[in-house]
Amino acid sequence: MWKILKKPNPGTKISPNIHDNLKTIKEIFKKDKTFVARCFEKNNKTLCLIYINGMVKEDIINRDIIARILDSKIERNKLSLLNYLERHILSTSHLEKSQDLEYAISSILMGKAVLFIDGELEVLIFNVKENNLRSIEEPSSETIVRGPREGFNESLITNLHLIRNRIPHPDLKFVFKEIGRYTKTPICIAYISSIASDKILQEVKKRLDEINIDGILDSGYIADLICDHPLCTFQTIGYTERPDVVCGKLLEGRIAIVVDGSPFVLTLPYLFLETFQSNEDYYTHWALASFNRILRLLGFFLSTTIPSLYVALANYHQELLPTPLLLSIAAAREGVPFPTIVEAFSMIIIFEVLREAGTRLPKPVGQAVSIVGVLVIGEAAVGARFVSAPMVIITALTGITEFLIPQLTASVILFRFIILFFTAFLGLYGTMFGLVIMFIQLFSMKSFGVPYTLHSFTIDFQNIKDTAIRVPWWAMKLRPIILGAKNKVRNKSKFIARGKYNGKNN
Amino acid sequence: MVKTIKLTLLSFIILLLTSCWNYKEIDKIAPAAGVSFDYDEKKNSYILTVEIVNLKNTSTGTELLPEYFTSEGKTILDAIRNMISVSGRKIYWSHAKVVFISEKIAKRGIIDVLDFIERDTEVRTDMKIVLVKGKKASEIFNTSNKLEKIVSYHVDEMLENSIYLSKYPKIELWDLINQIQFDISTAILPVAYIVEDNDRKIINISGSAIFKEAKMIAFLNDADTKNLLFLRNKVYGGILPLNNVLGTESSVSFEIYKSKTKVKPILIDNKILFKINLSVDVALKEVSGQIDFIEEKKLESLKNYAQEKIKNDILNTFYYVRDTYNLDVFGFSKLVKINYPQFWKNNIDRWESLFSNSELDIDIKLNIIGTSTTNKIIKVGK
Repeated sequence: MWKILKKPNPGTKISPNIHDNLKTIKEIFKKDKTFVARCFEKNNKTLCLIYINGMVKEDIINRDIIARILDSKIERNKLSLLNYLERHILSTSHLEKSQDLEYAISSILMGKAVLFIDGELEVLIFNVKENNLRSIEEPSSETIVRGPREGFNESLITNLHLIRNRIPHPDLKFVFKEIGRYTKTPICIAYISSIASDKILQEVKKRLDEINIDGILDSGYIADLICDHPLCTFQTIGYTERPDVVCGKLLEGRIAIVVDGSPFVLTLPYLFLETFQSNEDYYTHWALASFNRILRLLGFFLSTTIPSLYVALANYHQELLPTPLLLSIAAAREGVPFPTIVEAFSMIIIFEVLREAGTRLPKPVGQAVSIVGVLVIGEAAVGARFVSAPMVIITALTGITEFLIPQLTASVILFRFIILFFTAFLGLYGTMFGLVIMFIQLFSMKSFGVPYTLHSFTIDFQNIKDTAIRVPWWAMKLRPIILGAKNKVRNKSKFIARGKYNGKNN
Repeated sequence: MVKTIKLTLLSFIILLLTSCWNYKEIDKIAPAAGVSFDYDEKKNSYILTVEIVNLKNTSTGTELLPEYFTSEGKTILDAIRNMISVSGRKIYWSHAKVVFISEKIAKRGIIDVLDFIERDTEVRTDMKIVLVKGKKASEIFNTSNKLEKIVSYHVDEMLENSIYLSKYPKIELWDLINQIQFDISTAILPVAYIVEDNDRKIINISGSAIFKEAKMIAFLNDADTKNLLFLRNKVYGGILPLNNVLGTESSVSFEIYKSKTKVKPILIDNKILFKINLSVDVALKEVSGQIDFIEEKKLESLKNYAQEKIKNDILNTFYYVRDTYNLDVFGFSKLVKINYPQFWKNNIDRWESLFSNSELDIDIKLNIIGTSTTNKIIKVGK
C-alpha cells in the first residue's frame, strides 16, 4: 500500500523543538525510502538536513552545506545560529528562509533541501535541485531547412532563458503563476510590456486565474482551458517548439505562455492565417515564402474538398468533366462493386487509419505500415477491382495536401467529412453548402477579442503584407494593428537598390 | 425550443427542395458521342441513330469502341425514349459532340430537331451541326478510319481543325439558332459527303449548305464557302493558292495567319453599299518556278496581283449568291439593323429588293509578314 501523504494543518508554524518538527515530517514520509534526514550537531545544537534522495545535487549538499557547517568555528556573537550560518558560513547561492512548516514540506517535495535547527523558529531552504533534463535539441515537430535549430525542452527556466537570450530588453516581462492542486506546475506569461496590449494581458491573467484543476502535464491543458472556442476544431491558441517563433510573436505584440514540463509554448491571440505561416518564411526569400504560403492555403482547401469535388463531378455533374476524362474515369470504375460515395468514405478512413498507425508506431514498424498501405491498398485493391484507380489518386492527393498544414489536421478531417456528407446528397451544391458552414464557423470565431479570420478576407494594402504573402522586410514597417500593439512602428530600414549603382555608391 | 425545431425543419427544406437529386454512377451511363436524324416519309416518323462510346478494358489500357443503336418515333423525344428498348441504358447526352442531319430533313425544315436539342437539359448548345449529303444521315456511321474509331469524334476533329483550312464553316447549335431566329432568317451548315476510297467509305467535309427560313435551299462549293467565310469574318487560317502568277508559270501559296473583315453598310438613295475592309496577314509559304518573287519589286507586284485575285473571287461569290438565291447568308442584314435601326424598322418588308440591289465595295490589304524559314528560292543550276 502506498502511504498517502498527510498534509499538516495549513499555516502550521515551525516548532522551536526540532524533534516535534521531525516527528511531523517523518509521519508524512513514513516508509518512504527516498526520504533522507541527516542530523548532526554544532555548538550543542541539533541540526537536521532533510531532502529527497535523487532530486538534489548531493555533492553540493556535502561540500557547501554539511562540510562547511561542521568545519566552521563559530565565534560568540549576537546573531542566532541560523542567521550566522546564513551570513557567514553557507556558500550556496539560492537560499531562503521560512517559518511555515507546510511550505518547508512542499519545498522538500520539489527537490530542495531544508535545514532544521533546534530552537529556531525558522528553517533554511536550499535550492539544490538536480536538473535531469533533455538538452536543447532541434524540435522534431517543426523541422526547417534555414533558420535557428534550437528548440525548447521541458524545463521552464531553460525555456525562459532561450527567450531572454534573443530579446535582452528590460521590457520583456515574465509573470509567474502556479497551477494544479497536486502538480503545482509553474507557468509563466511572457510579453513585451511596451508592445503587448494590456487588455489582452488582463484577459489572459483572468482566464488563468479561473483554472482550478488537479494537474497540468502539458501546455495543451492550458490551451484547452483558456481558449475561446473549446468545441471548435480550429485552434485559437497557437503552439510552437521554437524559441525564434515565440520571439517573433512577442515582437508582434502577442503573449506567450510557457508551462514547466512542456516543450510547447503557447502564443496568443492566434489568427487563422498563422496556421499557414512558418518561421522559415521570414528567413528565406520573400517570393518563395509567399509561394509556399499560397501552397499551404491551397492545400487546406484541396484537402477539405478534393474527395467531395470528385464525388460531385463523377456522380452529379458528369457534363462538367472533359470528355476524355469522363471516359477514363468511367473505364476505371467499370467493375468496381461499390458506389463512388462508399468508396470515398472508406478510402479516406483507411488513409486516416494508416496515418495514425504510422505516427504512433516506432520507426521500424512504421515502415511496415506504409508498405501495407502501398501494396495492399494501392496495388492489390485496384488490381482486384475493389476500388477504382482514380479514387486511390484522390485519396493520395487528399492525404498529401493534409500534410501541408499539420496544425489544421483536426479541422481538415472534420470538414472533409461534413462536406463529403452534403455532397453525397446534393452534388456541387452540397459542397458549397459544407464550405459555407465552414466559413460561417471561421468568421464567427474570435481569439482573445481579435476576430479569427482577420486579414484573411480583407484587401487592405497595409494589412495584407504578412498574410498569405510575405512582403520583403523593408516593406513591413508596422506591426499587425489589430493585436492592439501599443508601439506600431517596427521597422525603419529603407529600401535601397544598392546593385543599381554598380557598387560605386557602396 | 419550438423556434429551434422550426429552424431545423426549415434547413431540411433547403436540402430537399434543390431538385438536385440526381446521383448516378459514372460507369452506369451510356455517353453518346453523336446522333444522326433521318426522316421516313412513308411512315411519317423520325429515325434516330445514336453513336455510344463503349469502354473496353484491355491489358494495355482502355479502348473506346463505337456502338450504334437505331430507333423510330412519331416525334423526336418518342424516338429517343424508344432507344431504351434497344440500348438498355438511358443515354447521356452532355458529351455528345456532333449532330448529323439528313438532306431530307434539311429540306423539310430543321426546327423539329433544333427544338428538341435546345430544350433538353442534358444536351449542350455547343454541339456541332453537320448536314449529310445523300440518302440517309445514319450512313455516316458506316464509314471507317483508323485514326479515330468513333465517327462523331472524328468529325468533331475535322470541324475543330477547320481553322487551318477555312473551306467549310464550323457551326455550333447556339450559333445556328441565333441565325435562324434573326429577322432575316438565314443559316449555313457544313456539308459532309460520304465518298468511296479503296473499298472503304470515308467522310469528306467540304463546302456548305445555305438555309432560308430553316429550310435548305442550295449547296455552295468550297471556294465559294471560303469567300463567304471571308465576308463573315470567320477565316482563321488556310491557304491562298495562286497559279500562273502574273502570266508566268510560277505558282505561289500564301498561308493566312490572321484575317480581319470589317463591314460597314452605307445607305445611298435607298440603296445599300457594303463597304468591306479586309486585312489579311499572310506568309509566303511556297514558291515554285524560277522567278524570285521575294525580291522587293516583284513581291510588290505579287502582292497587288494576289489582292486583285482575292477581291475578284469574293465579289464573284457575293454577286453569285445575291443573284441566284437573293439570300443574305453573309450576316449583313444584322449590321444594317444595328447601324440604321429606324431605317430597318421601316424597310424590313422590302429587304429582299434592297438586298438584290445592294453593292459590295472591297478594300483589301494583304500584309506579307514573312517568307517562312528561307528567303531564297531553289534555283536550278545550269
